[in-house]
Amino acid sequence: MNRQRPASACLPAAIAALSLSLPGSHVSPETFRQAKFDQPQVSATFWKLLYYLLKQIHGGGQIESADPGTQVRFVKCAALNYGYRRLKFYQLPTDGSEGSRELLLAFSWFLCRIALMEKLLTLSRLKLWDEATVCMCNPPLKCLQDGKSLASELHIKDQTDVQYLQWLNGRLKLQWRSCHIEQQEQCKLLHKVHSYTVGSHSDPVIGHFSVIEVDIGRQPDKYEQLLHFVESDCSRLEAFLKWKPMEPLYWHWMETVLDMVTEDTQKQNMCGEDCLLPGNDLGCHSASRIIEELDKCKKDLMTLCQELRERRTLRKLACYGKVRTRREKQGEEDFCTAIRKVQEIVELKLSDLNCNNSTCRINKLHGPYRLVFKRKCLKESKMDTIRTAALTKAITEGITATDVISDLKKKVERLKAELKHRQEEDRQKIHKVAKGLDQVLFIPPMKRQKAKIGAEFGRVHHI
Amino acid sequence: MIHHFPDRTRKRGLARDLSHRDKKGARSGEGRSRAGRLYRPLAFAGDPKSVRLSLLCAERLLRGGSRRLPGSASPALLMLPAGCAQRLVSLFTQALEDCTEQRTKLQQKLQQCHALLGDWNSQRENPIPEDSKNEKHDVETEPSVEELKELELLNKALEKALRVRSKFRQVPCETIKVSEAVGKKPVSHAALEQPASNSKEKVPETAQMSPVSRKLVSSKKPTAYMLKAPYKTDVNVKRPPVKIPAGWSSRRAKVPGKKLSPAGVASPKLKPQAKTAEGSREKVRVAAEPGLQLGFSKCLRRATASPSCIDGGDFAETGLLVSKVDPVGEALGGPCPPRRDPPTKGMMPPTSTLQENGSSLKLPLPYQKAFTKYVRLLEKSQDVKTTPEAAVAKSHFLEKLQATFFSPTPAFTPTEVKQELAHLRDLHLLISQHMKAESPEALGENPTWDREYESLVTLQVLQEVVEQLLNKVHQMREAMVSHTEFLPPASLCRGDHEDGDNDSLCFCHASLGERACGDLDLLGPAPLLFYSSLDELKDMEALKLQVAMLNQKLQIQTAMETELIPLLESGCLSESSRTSVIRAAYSLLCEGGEHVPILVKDEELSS
Repeated sequence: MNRQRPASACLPAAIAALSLSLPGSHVSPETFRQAKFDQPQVSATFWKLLYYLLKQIHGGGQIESADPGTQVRFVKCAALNYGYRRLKFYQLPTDGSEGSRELLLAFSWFLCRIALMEKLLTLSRLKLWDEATVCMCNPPLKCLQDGKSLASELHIKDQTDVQYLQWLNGRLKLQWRSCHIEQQEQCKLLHKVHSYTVGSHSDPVIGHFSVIEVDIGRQPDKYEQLLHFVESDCSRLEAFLKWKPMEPLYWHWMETVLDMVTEDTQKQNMCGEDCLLPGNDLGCHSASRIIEELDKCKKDLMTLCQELRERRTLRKLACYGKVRTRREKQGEEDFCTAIRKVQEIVELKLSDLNCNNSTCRINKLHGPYRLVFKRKCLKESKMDTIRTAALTKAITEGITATDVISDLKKKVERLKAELKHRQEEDRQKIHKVAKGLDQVLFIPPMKRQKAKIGAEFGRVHHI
Repeated sequence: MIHHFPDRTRKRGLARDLSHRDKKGARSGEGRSRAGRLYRPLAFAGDPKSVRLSLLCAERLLRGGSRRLPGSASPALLMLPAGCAQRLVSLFTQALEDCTEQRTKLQQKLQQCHALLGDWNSQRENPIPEDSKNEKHDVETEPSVEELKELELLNKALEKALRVRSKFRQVPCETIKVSEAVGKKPVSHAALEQPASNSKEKVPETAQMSPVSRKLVSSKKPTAYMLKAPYKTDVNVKRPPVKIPAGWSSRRAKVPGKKLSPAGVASPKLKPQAKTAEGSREKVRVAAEPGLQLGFSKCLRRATASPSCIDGGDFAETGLLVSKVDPVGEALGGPCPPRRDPPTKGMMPPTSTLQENGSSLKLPLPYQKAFTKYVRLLEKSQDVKTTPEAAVAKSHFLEKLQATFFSPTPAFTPTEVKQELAHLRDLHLLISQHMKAESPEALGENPTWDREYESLVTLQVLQEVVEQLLNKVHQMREAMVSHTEFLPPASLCRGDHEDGDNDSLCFCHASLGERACGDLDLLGPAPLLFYSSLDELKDMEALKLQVAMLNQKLQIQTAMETELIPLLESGCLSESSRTSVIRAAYSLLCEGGEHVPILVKDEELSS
C-alpha cells in the first residue's frame, strides 16, 4: 500500500477488492459512493447483495431469486437475529426502494461482526470436496417444531384414532431403516470412488479424487463449470489478499458515512416513540418461544442442581469419617498424593463436560471436513520421506474417523440411556392407570432382549 | 419380534381384545384399506426378514377375507381428542418429511456415484433423475389406493416367483425352457451360470430386448458380481431342492419365502413379471429384487440401479446402470461397442469403468493448474492477519455504529441463544448421567474411601457446572427479553389475531435455515478427516444417523408423553376406548411401538 497517496485515490481500489472477494455479482465502488449519499436507485442492489450473501451462510445451496419483498424481509430477519439494532434500518420500506445508506451500514456491520467475508470464502471451499460433517450442530434432521405452531397449518381429518399414530410410528421406522440402508450403500460407493482413484490426485496428501472431481472426467461439460468455479474462487482469494492491507481505508471511510448519518438525524430530529418498528412481524413469535424454552431449561437445571446438592451432602456425611481415619493412618504426605490422584481421575472423567463448553468446542470436532481415504499401512510404508512427512503432518493436523466414531458412540449411549429411562417412567405411569381399570388384567409384553432400543439399528447394521 | 402380532391375533378368543382390528370387518368397503394400513405397524420389526414376513401377514389380511375378524364396536370409541391428535400427527408428519428429505439427498448422491462407477461409455451424459414423484408418497398421511395396489402386486410377484422357483429347483441344471412361466426365454448362459445377473433384465425394456443382445450382455459379465454378494450364503441352494407345487400361494410358502435367495428366486421370477404386470412394471421390479428390499419398496424403487448395489455386488461392470441407459442402444449394441464416446477432454481414458482406469485417471491440465493455485492461495490467505491499524479502525466504526442502536446489544444474540439451547439439552443429559453414575447404588456396598471421595469431588464439580449453566441461562433469558423489547409490543399479541400475517411469521421463523457450523472465520485449506477403511466410514455415518434418530425419538416421546398420559389419567375416555388407548399408548411409549400388551377382561376378577 502506498501511504503517500491520498486515501481518496486508494479507496475505490479497496472497495473494488472488497466487492471482488464476495461471491455473486460485483458491486462497483461507484455504487458504494452513491450509497453513502443515500441515493435511492442503488438500494435495490444492496438489498440484493445482502440477501444473497446472508442466504449463502444460511443453508446456501441454490439461491432462488426472490422478489424484493422477500429479500427485504429475509435480510431484516437475519439482521435481527444477529443482534443488529438500528431502528432506522428496520423502518425501511419493504419494497426495497430506499435506504441505501442504511444498507451500507448494515453491510459493514456484518463484515465486522460475523466476519462475513471470511465465512463466505470458507464456505465455497466445500464444493470441491466429499464433505463430512463431524458435529451434530446441524443434525440431519431438523428439530421438530412443537405441535402448537403447526396445528393450525395442517389440516388433518378430525377422525384420528390412536392406531393411526401407531401406523405412523411404524412408517417412520421403516423410513429410518431405508435411510440407513441407503446411507450405507452410499458409503460403499463413495469408498469405491476413493479407492479406485488412489494415487491419481496431484495433491499427495489427499491422494484420490472426490466424487465431483471424478465426475468431470465423465461429464466434460461439467468440467467447464468446475474449472470456472475454481478460477473464480482463486480470483476471490486474490481480491481478498489485496483487500486485507487496504482494509483500514474502508473503515475510515465508513466512519465518515456514519458521521453523515448522525448529522442528518440531528437535522430531522427523529420521530418519536410511536414510529418504532413497522416490520413487527420479525421473529417475535420465535423469540417468545425461545424464552419459553429457556424457562423450561432453567427449571430442569434447577431440579438437577437441587438433586446434586442433596446427593453431595449425603455423600459428604457418608465419607467424612472414612477420609479422616485414612488421613490419620496414612500420614499427611501420602494422603495428599491420594487426594491429588482422585482429583485427576475426576478431571478425566468429566473431560467431556468441559469440552462441551463453548470455548473448547470450537477447536473440537466441528464443521465440515474433507473426507479423505488413507489406508492404515500407508503410514508405515517407506515412501519418499518428503511425501511421508507431509502426510504425517496432515494426519496429525486433521482428524481421524476413529475419533469421530468414539465421540459419536458416547453420544449414542447417552441418548439410548435417556430414552430408556423415559420409557421406564412412562411404563410406571401407564401401569398405574391400568390398575385402575375394572376387571382387567394387564399383561405387559414379554421381555425379550435388554437392548431393545438399539435393536432395530444394530441388526440392520450388520447385515 | 414380529411373530408377536399374529400370535396375539390368534389369542383373541381368550383376551377380549380391544384392538381396533376388530372393527374392520364391519365396514367392508374400508376393509381393504384398513388392512393395508395395518400391515405397516406390523412391518417395523428389526430385520429385513421380519419385514418380509410382515408383508406376508399383510397379504393374509388382504386376501383372507373370511379370516378377518368380526367387527362390532363403533369406530368413534378410539378417537383421540382432536387437538391432541392433530398435534401428534403433525409431529409425526414432520418427522416423516424430514426423513424423506434426508433420503432424497442421499439418493441424489447415490445416483451420482452409480453413474461414476458404471460404464462411462454407454451412459448418456446426464442421467436424469427419474421418478422423483415417488417420494411424494412418503409424506402422505394415509395409505393410498396405489400403495395397496402395489402391495397386491408385490404379493402376486412373490407368489409367481415361488411358483417359478419351485420349477426351477426341480430342474436345477437344466435350462429354464422347462418352465412355462419362462418358456419363451431363450437359453442363455447367464441364466445358468449366474442367475443374479438377471437383475440387469429388470429394466422395463426387458421384454423388448432381443435374445441375442441379452446374451451378449450377460456373457460379457464377470461372475464376480454374484460371488461378492453377501447373500451368497444361499441357504436354499445348499438345501436339497424342495418341491413346491406351482399353485402355492406365497402365504403357504411363508417359511421358504423368508429365505428367498437372490440367486434362487430373483431370477426366474423376472420374466413373468415383465409380461404380466406391464403397466406397473416399476413396482413389480421391486419385488424382484432380492432379499431385504422386499419390505422397502418405496425406498429402493428410486435407487434406480440394480440390486447389485444393495447386495454388495460389484457393479462396476458394464450394463449395470441399465435403467439409465438408452434401452434401444443397449439392446442393439450391448455394452461392447461403445456407442457414444464422451467427448474426451484432457486425458480422459477411452475405456469404460472407474475401477479399471481410476488409478490412471487424470484431470485436465488447466484444472490441475487452477487447483494448485487455489490451494496455494488458500494457504496464503490463512497467514494473512488483520493489521493493527485495520483492527483499530474497525472497532472504532463498530463502536460508533452500535452507539446509535436502539439499545445495547446484549450478551447473546438470538442466533447464539438458539445454538446454545440445543447444546444445553445435551449437557443436561450428560450431567444427569454423570450424576447417576455416582449414586449410592452405583458405588456398591462397601466402596473404598478414595472411590467415595472421588464421588464427592465429582458431585461437587457437577454442581459447579450446573450453577454456571444456570447463570448462562439467566443471561440468555435477559438477552431474549431485551430482544422482544426491541420489537414493538404490538407484535407480542401477534399470535392472537389471525389476520393472515401468519405467513410472514412462519417465513421468518423458518427461512433463516441452518447455519453452517464450525469455525468458518478461519481461512485456509480444507481441514481433513481421514478414514482408513470402508467399515470405518460406514460406522461413522451410521452413528451419525443414529444420533439424529434418537434425538427425534426423544422429541416424539416427549410430545406423546405430554399428550397421551394426561389423557389416560384424566379418565375422560370411555371405559372401552380407554383400554385400547392404553394398549396403544403403552406400545408407543414404552415399547417403541414394537410390542403390545394384552388386556384380559376377567369377569371373575373381583374389582
